[in-house]
Amino acid sequence: MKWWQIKKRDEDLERELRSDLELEEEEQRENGLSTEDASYAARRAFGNPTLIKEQTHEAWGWAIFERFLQDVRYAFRQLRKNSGFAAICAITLSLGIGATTTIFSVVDSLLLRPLPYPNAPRVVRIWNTFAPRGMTEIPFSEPEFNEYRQSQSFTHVAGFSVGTLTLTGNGDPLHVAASWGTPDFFSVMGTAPLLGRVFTADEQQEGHAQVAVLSHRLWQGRFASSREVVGKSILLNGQSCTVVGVMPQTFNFPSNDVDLWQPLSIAPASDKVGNHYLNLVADLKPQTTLNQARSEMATILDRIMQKYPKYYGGAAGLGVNVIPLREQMVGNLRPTVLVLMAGVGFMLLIACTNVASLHLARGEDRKQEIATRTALGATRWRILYQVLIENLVLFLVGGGLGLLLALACVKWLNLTDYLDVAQLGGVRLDMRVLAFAAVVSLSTGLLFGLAPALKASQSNFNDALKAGGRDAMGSRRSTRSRSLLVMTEIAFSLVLLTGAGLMIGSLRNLLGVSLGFNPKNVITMRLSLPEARYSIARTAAFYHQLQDRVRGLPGVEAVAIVNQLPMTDVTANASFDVEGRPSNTDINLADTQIISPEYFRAMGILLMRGRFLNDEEAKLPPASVIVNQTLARKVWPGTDPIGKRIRLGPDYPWLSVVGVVADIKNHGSNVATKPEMYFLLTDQPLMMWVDLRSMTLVVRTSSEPEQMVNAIRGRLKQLDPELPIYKVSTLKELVSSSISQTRFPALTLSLFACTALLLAAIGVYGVFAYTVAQSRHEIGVRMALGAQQGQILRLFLGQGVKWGALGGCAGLLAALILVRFMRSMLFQVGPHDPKILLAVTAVLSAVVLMACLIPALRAAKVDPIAALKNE
Amino acid sequence: MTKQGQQRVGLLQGTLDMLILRTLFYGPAHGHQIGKHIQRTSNEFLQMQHGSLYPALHRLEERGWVSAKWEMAPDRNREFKYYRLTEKGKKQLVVEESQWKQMSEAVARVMWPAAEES
Repeated sequence: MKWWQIKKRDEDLERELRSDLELEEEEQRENGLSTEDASYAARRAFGNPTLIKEQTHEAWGWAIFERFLQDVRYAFRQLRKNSGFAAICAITLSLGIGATTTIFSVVDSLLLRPLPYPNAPRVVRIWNTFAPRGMTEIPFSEPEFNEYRQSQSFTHVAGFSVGTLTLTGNGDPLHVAASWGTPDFFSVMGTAPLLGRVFTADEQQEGHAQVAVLSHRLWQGRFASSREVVGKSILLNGQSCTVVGVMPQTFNFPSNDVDLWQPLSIAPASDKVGNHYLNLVADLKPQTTLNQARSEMATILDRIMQKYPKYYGGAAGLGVNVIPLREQMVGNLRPTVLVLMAGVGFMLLIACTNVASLHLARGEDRKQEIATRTALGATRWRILYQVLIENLVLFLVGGGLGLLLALACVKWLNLTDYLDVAQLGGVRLDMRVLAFAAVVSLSTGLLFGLAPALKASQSNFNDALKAGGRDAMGSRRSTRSRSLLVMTEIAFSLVLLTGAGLMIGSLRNLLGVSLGFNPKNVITMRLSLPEARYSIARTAAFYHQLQDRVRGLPGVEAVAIVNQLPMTDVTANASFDVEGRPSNTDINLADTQIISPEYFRAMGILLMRGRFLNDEEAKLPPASVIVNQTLARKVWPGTDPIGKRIRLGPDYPWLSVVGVVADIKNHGSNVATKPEMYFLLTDQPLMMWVDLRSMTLVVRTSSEPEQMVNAIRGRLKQLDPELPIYKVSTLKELVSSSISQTRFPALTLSLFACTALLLAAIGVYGVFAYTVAQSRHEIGVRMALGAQQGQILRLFLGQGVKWGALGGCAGLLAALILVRFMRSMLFQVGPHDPKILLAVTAVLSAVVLMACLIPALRAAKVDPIAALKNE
Repeated sequence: MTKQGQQRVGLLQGTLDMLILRTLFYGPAHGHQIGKHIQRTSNEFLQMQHGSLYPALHRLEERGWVSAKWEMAPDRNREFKYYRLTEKGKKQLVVEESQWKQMSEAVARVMWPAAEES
């Protein structure tokens, strides 16, 4: 028989039994009994129809399945009846499972999963460090690279630089991010090209025909994934260049947005010691450890310093560091991720505590129901089975919601750039953790759901039935475990709240940081002039013209250009000599900004001393420089820097300091200001290694800056219709994205803390309301004996305060210990900031009190007559 | 009506199936008839509630030993669910009968060994 025929069979059985019963009745009547007696006699002879039906169902072989369906139906009915309990449980479960899974998935992709390069575990980045200035990531110069590449610790050492190019032909001009690598660039990573090949050694030679390797993204977007692209010629900055290969999707080094790679030629005899533009990447030999490599690097550094004594001149504190690629990529995210993971762990704990206390309270409620069922002959197994099914139904609903939540979050994370995860292959929902969270929350539900049921079915059901669901407050034993759970919950919530409070405090401090410039009403956009059409001499002229044209637009207050905007990625820096001092006494390194005269006005940077640069100077050979306060303080402490002279090297002219401008947060709100030099973009520019063709246009407007973009673009078109603009953004947006590393954890932790607070409130309320409901009888007796409403209120509130105080103290203690691990994420907030600790404690106390007050008020309003009558 | 003092026992586990099959050997019958027949032929010795027949009947049907069909009763104007023995059921009856025989002989040999010798 098939199970869907059960209903029909059941009707059939019903009819059969009825006809038999009727027949029996007729026979009894024929024997001379009255109608009524006959009916009784027939039923006696027949037996219990329900039992017979059940036994017959068993004979059909679907009994287990039927019972299961029946239990599921019953479970749904029970949950509907207790919709509050069901909803809270389901929400708790979904938050617990969903949030845990999402965050762990992120952690997994950031910290645990290997990078998608064959050599990934052995790939390292190499940096110069300079302890006196706290500089940890100084790029290398060509002579340095030529020394380091001879290292015995690595299989390959490659140098690369990054920049931009304009791709023309085959559609609109496109701005592309390029990376130039030395011969071993691809060998370091070990990734083979998807199509074609990577560079050959002779293509690295200067003067060889230009070649390029495309990224998967550019190949898809611009060349429609055509396999014929290999061998074809493309136009980069107006120059013809042959495509030799395409890299696979997983290869996104050195950054996510890289579009193509070109060979970088470095002369073995290069002597440009002062030009630090090369990033180094290398793969360790299989037998070499990180520390061995580090000490070898130090030896090589010594050799370099001896080779160029004039340049390094006893620079104490110069060092070299080797760090694994993964650490380089996620290193600054690690504390964030770990704190978030701890936060999520607490969330899961709170969720489980909530589920546990809800189940315990519900178990008490069901005592009578279970006793009744036991009295009617239900076996213990049958009752446990029922509770099990109910738990499973609840779990499936909550878990299903949690899964949806996790899927949505992972999708969102892959779309935002809060966490730079695309380079690591994106966040994938981690099924192991999903399973872990599911099992943990399910077992909690089962443990705390089954235990009371087991106890209830074991105990003498007589007592339970007699008690009639009205426990005196005396049966405290059952209350104790619940109040312990509530206190735990309060403690956990306080830990999370403290974490969130500290992050919010840091965020507030960051937002309050004086930037040194005014980000309001400024629009910025980047453009790169193609080398083929713009000589360096024409470059300066072009930018002059562009600024003049934009200045003519209504609503424009100031226009300027700069090579690197503050807070984005200030990377160009250079060392300099100070007049009158031997160049080997100090390593002077400063960010180099190439600007136009109006830059300070456009950015709203204050002049502290001297004067700004002017348009006339731009037409003359470079002779003046502006420095920031930090540089002035470091180089000329206590003396007036105006009129002092510096130069970038022996081959460079001396430049007079004509002005000192206010420090700005050039590397982000939470980073100390670094020394900075401002050079004018003159017709005969100074530093050939800075890409002068790529500049950012900075326009200060009198109204909403976004509205100016199209007008500015129009003016640009008049000058050069083939020039793309990119990275259009207001200065405000740049500032705001520069603090996303604090904002993201602050937001997430706050979200956790709010959820935890909500869960704790629900937990406290649930347990408290339950205690009140259970004590109605006792309250009635107390009132009948003369207790006042106020006394009852105090009695219950007192209990709440006790829980809150005990849980709060435990939480505070735990928080004080745990938040120390957050130190690196905080900004101008001590981990034990008393104001924040006080604030979060106050918030928690208020919430706990509120959660207690509502049931306590209900207790005080109990009508003693109704309560006692209700027996 | 049962006579006072007469001994009555419940059915031995597993024998009900055999009794039903044997009853149906005479021809199709509905539940009530089967119950009455077993009670009457055992001289009211085998005591059972009619209702307990049905789980057994449905089990036999599930196994394919009997088939069931709603049919008009010959003596009155009403439909009953008539059970009849299938070919498979007939074979099963033979099997159960022989098993029962072996069983009762075995029991007898244990209980009355002397009778066996004589």
